[in-house]
Amino acid sequence: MASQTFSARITEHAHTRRTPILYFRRYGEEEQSVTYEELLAQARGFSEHLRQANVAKGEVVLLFLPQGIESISAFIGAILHGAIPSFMPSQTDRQDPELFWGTHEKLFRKIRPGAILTQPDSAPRVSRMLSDTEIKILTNEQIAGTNSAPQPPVEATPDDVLLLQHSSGTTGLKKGVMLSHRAVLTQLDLYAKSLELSDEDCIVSWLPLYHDMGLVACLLLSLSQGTPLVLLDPFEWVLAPMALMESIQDHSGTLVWLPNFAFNHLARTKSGEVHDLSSVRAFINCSEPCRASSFDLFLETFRDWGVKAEQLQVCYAMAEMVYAATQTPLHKGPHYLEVDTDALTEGRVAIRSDGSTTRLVSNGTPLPTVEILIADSSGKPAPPLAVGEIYLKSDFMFSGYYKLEESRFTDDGWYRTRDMGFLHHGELYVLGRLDDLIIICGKNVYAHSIETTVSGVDGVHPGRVVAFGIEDEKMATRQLVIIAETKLPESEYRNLRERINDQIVASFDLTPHTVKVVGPNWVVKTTSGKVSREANLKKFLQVVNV
Amino acid sequence: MTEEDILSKLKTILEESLETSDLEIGRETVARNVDGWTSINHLEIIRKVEQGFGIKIALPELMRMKNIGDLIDVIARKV
Repeated sequence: MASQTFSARITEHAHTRRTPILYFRRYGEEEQSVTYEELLAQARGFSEHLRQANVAKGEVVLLFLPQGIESISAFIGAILHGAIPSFMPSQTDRQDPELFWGTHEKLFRKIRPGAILTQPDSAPRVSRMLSDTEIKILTNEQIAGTNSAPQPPVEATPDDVLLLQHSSGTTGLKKGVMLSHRAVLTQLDLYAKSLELSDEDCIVSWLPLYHDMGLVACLLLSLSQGTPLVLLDPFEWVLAPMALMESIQDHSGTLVWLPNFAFNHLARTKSGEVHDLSSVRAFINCSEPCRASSFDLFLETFRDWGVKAEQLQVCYAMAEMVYAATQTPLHKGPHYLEVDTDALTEGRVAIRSDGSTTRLVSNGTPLPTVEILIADSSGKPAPPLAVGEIYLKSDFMFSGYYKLEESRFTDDGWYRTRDMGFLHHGELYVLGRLDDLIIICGKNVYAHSIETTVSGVDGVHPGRVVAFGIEDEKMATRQLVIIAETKLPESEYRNLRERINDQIVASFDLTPHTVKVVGPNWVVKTTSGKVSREANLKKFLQVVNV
Repeated sequence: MTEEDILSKLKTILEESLETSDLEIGRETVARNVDGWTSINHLEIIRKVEQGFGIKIALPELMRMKNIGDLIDVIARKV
């Protein structure tokens, strides 16, 4: 029987697998690689550093480090120490350091991590900010200097929390999804079977490790199953997308997870020499609604590089389920369903092929132990072919939100996803959201969270801000539009717009497509005094003519 | 080309790329403060700039660019 804790699992692999498990590629640098044993040796150094810094078992360790083998070693080191690691987005050059760290302060004070690991140039600022707390601020340079004999790993039980996966959102409102060793390993072992993982497989990824697709589907699947992972830097990938194709060719990559927008980004930026992509068993579209047109474009563009329809796959996933709830069957191309567009807007599914139709992409069938219920607005099972909220149950649910009482479970144990969809012949079709979540390039942000953040920007009329997502067919994702009222003179609008942009980039690492600063009484409110997103979107589209 | 010429041509290319006609840019302008210029279409915009000026911008140069002024300097070195 395979080990039931993550640390035992990777230690077990270290005894049997001597070839590299991780590769990291950065532009202009030689490819780095490590075996399990080398990775564990680095991780033990970090673990020892946590011990010396008196970080206790069960305390949270937040990792603000650039993507790479070092940050992964730190993550595993925290696990060996019995602490609870969480990858966080590290500060980028385009983010104002004061705003970036300031925006995280509320989170630090709320969850009181045992330690924050960051880079030496950020550490003094974070230390000053948290000088009245017991939180230890550690740097990767200090760890490199740790030289006393590492201690054996702290023993964990399968029900201990293995890691926190932080949701996007205003950092003060970020929710830390707690995942146990048992939940993570149960999910990954079942997912590996669904994917028919074998010794021939190799995962290639540019995805950030603070995102569940990058962390769970790529890194943790790799480490738990002994499948090599070739990792790229996400910031470099956006500017050099063909690096992914080059890595697939160089390593005969077989599994690649991508959010929908990435299929279009790769297709639109195809360039350079031909890269052979025929080794890929599955390009898996996940994290934002899958669009049939994106698959069409990708297939057409990369057919001459070896891409075939049967490589195109879809999965439906969320951090609260560790990762995947459904997956399309391998060896088959995507399954499309043509439905009546008008009926769909009324919440009904009418299958037809003529007239005004919408082509939907199946998200596949449930993984073993996953149950799906499509519920109506009262929580009762919706009739067949009706759109409703997706409820889920499985053997690998999360253990709750860290230091938050919030629950989204029904009395009979269903997890309410807030996603809307329907089932047809046992396959799940995901259509959109019940709430104000906007998915932009696979990143989840709540409109109310954006509005709260912008309301706090000096010069903005608090409460008179509206944020919404608009469809961008070309980019195959949604784009963020913000409208903010001010009483400042028009000559100040440009400066205010820049302050809003800076704050959004610092808080969400997201560039709004449009920030419109407007004068008093522009924003439409309902009779009950609430900002109406629908009415403001309509007004924006009319006035700005987008 | 003078810096003024580069800025003028750059403005035309950006207006075409972003489908707008009243772009106000200067050396200090950063991409995120230009409506419609996001990290995802950044590469395509840069490709159009490369085509427009007949130059190639290397990835390290691209990663170092902070604002329009940096872009102008890179173009000025290559045209």
